[in-house]
Amino acid sequence: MSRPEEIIPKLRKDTIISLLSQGRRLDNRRPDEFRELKIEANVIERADGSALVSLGNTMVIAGVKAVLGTPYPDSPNEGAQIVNAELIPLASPVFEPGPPGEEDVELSRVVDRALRSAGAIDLRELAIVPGRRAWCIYIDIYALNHDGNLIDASALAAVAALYTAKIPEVEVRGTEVRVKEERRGLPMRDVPVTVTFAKIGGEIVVDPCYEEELVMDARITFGIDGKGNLCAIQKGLRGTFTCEEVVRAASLARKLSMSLREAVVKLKA
Amino acid sequence: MPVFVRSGAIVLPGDVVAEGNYRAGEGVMRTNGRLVSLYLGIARVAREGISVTPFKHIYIPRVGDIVVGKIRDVGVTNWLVDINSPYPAVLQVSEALSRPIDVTKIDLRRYLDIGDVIVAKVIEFDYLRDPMLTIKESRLGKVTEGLLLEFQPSLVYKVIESRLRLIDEVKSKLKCDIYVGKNGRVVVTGARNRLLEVVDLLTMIFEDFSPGSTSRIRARVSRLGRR
Amino acid sequence: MGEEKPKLMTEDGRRVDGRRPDELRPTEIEVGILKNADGSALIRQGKNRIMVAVYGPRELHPRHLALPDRAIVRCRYHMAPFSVPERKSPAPTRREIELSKVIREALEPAIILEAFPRTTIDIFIEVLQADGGTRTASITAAAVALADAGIPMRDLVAAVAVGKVDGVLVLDLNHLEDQYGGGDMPVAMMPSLEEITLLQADGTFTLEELEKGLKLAMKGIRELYEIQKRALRERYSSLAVELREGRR
Repeated sequence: MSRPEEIIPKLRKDTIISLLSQGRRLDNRRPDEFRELKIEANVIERADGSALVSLGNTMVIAGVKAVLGTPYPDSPNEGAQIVNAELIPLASPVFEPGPPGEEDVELSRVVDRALRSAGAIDLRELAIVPGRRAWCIYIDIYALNHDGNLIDASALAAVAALYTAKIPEVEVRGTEVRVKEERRGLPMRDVPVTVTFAKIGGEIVVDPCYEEELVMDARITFGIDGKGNLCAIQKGLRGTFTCEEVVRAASLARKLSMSLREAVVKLKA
Repeated sequence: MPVFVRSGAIVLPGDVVAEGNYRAGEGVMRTNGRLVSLYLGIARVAREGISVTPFKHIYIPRVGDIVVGKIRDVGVTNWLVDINSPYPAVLQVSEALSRPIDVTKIDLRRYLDIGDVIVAKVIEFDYLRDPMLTIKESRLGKVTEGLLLEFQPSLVYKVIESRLRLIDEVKSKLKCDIYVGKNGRVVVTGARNRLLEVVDLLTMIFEDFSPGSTSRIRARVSRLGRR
Repeated sequence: MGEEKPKLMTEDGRRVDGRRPDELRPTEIEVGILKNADGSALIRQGKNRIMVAVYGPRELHPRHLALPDRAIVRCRYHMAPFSVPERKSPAPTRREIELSKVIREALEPAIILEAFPRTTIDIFIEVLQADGGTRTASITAAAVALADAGIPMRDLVAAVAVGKVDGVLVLDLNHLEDQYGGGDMPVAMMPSLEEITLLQADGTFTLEELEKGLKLAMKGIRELYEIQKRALRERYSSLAVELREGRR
């Protein structure tokens, strides 16, 4: 409906807040309700893994590529995971072309943290020749349409792409590594998801759409792993949360994470 | 001299709509003795000529248009107003206040601040300079309460007169005010607890074109006010 | 590279993917999938998957870049890191910079820029999967996105690449044919006006091959034109019906 713009008239913010005080949001959602989620895996067959996520009107695509590389010196028996997210101008009039800005970088790092802390990819299984050769898994995330909550959409796209990815088998002879035709699934130990909340005029809502993000005072994201642990937390913007608000939101995040995870796991059913 | 389309047909940029001496209306260009559509839109064949109304078009200000604007910036003697157009508009202090004020002493923010919504009229526009607005006439001015909606400022406004008439019906039945700006923005005020109903209806009127939508909308509007 | 050149043409004139020399790859265009963009199109051509978004005409910042009597067009062609077999760094390469320019110049002649002085029309192309001929597929999709955005155009623009495989001129090169063939000639045209808006070549072509190649390109372009028009009509067919009903 609306054309997204950076200056939101007070009229609109007042409307959003007054609707919230009646427990309603612009699109008739409850404060604890996610928008409709659709995940399509293997949309880019040339990539080793890929997923297209639609969360309401927010659309994000993630691609996974396994590249043969050298392990980091401080972890010679592990492969590597690199997350790169870009908010390209195609997705919104408010994104400008150019190198990654602070929002792109924050998004990349939050998704990376959720994956890493949960041990999503079993990096030790990606070592090929200790100290010399290992798989480096690149996860590239591109926003295609920004209607709020790019964090959760991006995390879902990344996890779904990893979960359904297939990387080549390798044959090692001494220090020579040969990449074979056969493929295997990426070794995954967990399927973490993120749940993001916005605080608007004292009310806390999950999965903010773009308009809600324009008027939010603060934002908080929780990464939840398959065991229900919090594996990442990121608070954003200038507003504040009380301890009680944080704990309440975290508890709700744990509950909501289950159906998000189910949507990913279903892809391989 | 043949005409190749009927009124109501979908045409595309580059489609030849006619050959010969027909007048090229809006959205149509004459090339090599042929009339060619410039837009993806609906063709209209009339005695006065052949025109094409695009499905989508940005808002280009025209003198006399009533528009709904958002204050984008506050200057010393004027405000910069976003009117949902690639041409940002200017509201001079003299076109906003009925009495002259001393701009060196008074901050314009007292009257209109960034984010405020106004219903204004376009009084000047040539492409070389920004469009100029006024809010000094009756029914123009700052909007202090209500809801602001934005739709595609295109074909729907020009063609769906029957739907625009439905808006008048909604206004009288629900006793609210609805300002439909030519720039794709709509302000609803005074609807109180029926605000969301009005929003739903307006969204249908401006965005729902699925089969049978017009009759559905008519039915809903006629059922209004029967509580 | 040290790889063996694959066999690109069989004895009975079939190409690696079974096509005859004058056959286009299967092509589908979806219009209007991106909600924020003013116009958008997704093209699937062979294994190519390319998303195009158009924003505009819109205000231009900084304002001094604007032209007083017409709109400017800005175009960004970019390949996602996962779009090619060896992951590509996200930073723009010189190839992407050149392609951004030639694609813009292929589309500009079709746009009535004088209708919107002092504005910009922005075209964003993201290649999600690449399989040869991405610049021509991008142009074909971008023209659809421009029309979808309600931007007045003299005509649509459609584009295709012609190449040489074992001395035979072929239409719509895929990645293998582009890499190992004897020449690559992308052509873009406004089909109703029969005006060429993009023409490049690498490899070698005789004069006769150039002429035959352009004719072959025109055949492909006309087919793509029909696909573009069908996609645009379909997007609005139910809207058009409702509008006719609504006038009663």
